[in-house]
Amino acid sequence: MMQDTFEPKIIAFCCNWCSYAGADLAGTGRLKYPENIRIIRVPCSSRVDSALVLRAFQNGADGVMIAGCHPGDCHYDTGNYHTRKRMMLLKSLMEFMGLDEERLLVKWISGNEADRFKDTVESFTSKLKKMGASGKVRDLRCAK
Amino acid sequence: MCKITEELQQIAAELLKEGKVDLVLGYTKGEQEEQSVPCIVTQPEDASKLIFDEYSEKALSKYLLEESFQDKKVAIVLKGCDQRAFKLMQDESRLGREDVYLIGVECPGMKWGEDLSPFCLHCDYRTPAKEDVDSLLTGADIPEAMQGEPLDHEDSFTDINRLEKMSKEERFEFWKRQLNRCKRCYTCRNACPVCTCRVCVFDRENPDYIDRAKDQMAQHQFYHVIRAFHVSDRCVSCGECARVCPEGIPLHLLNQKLLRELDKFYGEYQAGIDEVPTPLSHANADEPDFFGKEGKA
Amino acid sequence: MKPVIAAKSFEQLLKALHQLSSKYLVVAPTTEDGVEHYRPITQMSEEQKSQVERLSLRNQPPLGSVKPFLFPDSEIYIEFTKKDGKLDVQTPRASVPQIILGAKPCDVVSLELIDKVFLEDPVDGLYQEKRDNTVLIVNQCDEMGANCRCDDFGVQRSTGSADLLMSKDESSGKILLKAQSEKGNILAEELLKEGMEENPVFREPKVPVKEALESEKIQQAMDDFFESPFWEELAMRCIGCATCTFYCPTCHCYDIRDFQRKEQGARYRTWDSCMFPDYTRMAGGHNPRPTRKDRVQNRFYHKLSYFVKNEGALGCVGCGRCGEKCPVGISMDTVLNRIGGEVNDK
Repeated sequence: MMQDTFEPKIIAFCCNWCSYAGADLAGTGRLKYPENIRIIRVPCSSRVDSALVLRAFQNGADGVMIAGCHPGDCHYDTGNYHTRKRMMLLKSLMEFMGLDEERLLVKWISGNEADRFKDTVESFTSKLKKMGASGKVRDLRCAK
Repeated sequence: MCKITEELQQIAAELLKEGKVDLVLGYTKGEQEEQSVPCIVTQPEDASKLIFDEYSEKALSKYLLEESFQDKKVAIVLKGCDQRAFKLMQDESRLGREDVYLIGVECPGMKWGEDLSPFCLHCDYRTPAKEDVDSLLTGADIPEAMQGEPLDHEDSFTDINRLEKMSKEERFEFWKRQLNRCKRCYTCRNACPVCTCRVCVFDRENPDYIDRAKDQMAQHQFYHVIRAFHVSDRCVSCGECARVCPEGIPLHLLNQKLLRELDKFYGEYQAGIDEVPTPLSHANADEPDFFGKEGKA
Repeated sequence: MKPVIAAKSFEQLLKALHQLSSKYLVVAPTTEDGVEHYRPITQMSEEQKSQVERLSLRNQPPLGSVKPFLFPDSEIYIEFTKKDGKLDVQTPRASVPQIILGAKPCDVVSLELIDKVFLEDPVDGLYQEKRDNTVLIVNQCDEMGANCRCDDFGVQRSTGSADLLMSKDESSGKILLKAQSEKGNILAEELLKEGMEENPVFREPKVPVKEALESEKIQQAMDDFFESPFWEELAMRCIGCATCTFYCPTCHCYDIRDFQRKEQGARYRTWDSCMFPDYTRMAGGHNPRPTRKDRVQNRFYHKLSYFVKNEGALGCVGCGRCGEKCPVGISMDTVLNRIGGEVNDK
């Protein structure tokens, strides 16, 4: 019953040069994707440090998505190499602490992959719908 | 009095007498039995206060970054792990090698309650390398358990293995129980010899990184993930975080987990022994891509 | 009248207290992963019961003091919501009556010291509410623990604001309770109904009472010692964590902060420590205690000098928790021994 009505909140950090352009293209191409997603534009996916991810979870996000350029395409050459290193570590540490690491999604989406952006958001949303609300890294004050 | 203490006092007295250094940073007997505490000696006649024994746990190298040690010639007593931390700071240009006189000591392994510290039992760098220090004092009374090869690297992760075998929910409950006791006194952060930022993110008011509430598990999780992360690739496995925690939270497990992941995917690296850059301060195309099209989603 | 009541065994006392758990939150010292704290007790295994007995009757306080039950490490005191353009402000529910079993004389005195701060005008309502709602069952120590210096602070037998005194009669194994306040009397009545019996005598503890330090003398010695290079040395050793202040039963500083989420929020207070650099930092960035020396000095001067001047008592009860947990072995002794020495040398 929960799954039918539950609408997860997703925070998506999109890199300015690829993924945000991809999301933009999805919009101009009138592709429809779930409105569960809230996009935050960042200069590079490596701008997203673990604190931002955890902060999102604390404040009520059910999923966090980090989208950056494909490896090799980074506007700053090595930014996304850093991203994948750090996020792998964060995911394994989260898993080690028993937190839901699968609620953190890292995806490479380029500027012309509007479809990929749409598919990613769709599949992530439906996955989170199945998982239900996140409660593990949540600050419970003022939680309705 | 053991040989190292004797030689240490001699060297300290000479250095101070000849004016080569302004002060010697070492250990002295604490107020309680079986306790050694950091101390500063400025007069040659006080050099007899200095000791080095199996209770000299506290890492001293980080003191060198303190305001009160600036513009002073300092001689410092360093055991293996501490020297690694020093080398790391030196490689990261936090301090100059020429300003400090290093007295390396052979570490007999530190006490952990009645037993030997598990960190020391796994340590393969008890004594600093001769070329890295100005004087090296050896001849410590090494307990039997510390003689011979250190325990296997894999063994040192025993606790991690135990946790990894648990289900996710069990792990969550384990950490919930542990972190529930955290008071955020920041002892783990302040005692860590490689936690050396000038202004810590948790002390910063703007942006206000951490909510001060102590009744929210989410804030404890936040603090401990970030703390472990910020020292992950630079950890020298001294075990101070676990030793000093007043609530006995096994914080080293988080660090060891990260170290193991780094070793697994990017090759073994030992901070303060191997050359910088540390694994997380560089990245390149050849490294595994976990998030590629077919990879971990 | 001061009724003395007795339980046949510690277990019977626990059982009787358990029967009252619908009325009271029962708190007792327990061990979790080797760490001793006062915690609410509910269903307990035999092993846990014997831990509670051991720690309650032991001549040494547990690591955590009773402070968090009267002055919690985090406490929301206002909640606000925006509804239809209007701000709706609520104060969260009132505190529940609680029994703290196995408190030590040092805990009692530490609360009396905090009373001097929180219960004087302006009265701290949050603290007062909990203080009025708390029944302290105090175990008088028979001798001193390894790190205890309560004798110096005249705390050994102090049980002034204890509601019930507890003692174990070794020969019969009976647990004796003596009520000495209104709240204590009420609880004693309730315990009698739960199967405890009246007892003719109470066993007084054997502890020898030593002459305590004179607060004015210490304060004077501290004031004379202010410029000593000793503080420089001590500050060099201190690593600036908050262990000493967070485990101190008399430390009572807090910080007030807001938590906000969308249309609602909460104002909470949370323990703060004078050992943190941002403790005295002002809005404009100025910090009147910029160095670690200032902060270390402040902690000791607050306890041993300013508190005497302001409240007429030393701000330390000699429980030894700060020294026990300090990663670099700084304790009250470190300072007291020094000022003592310095005074004698003159």
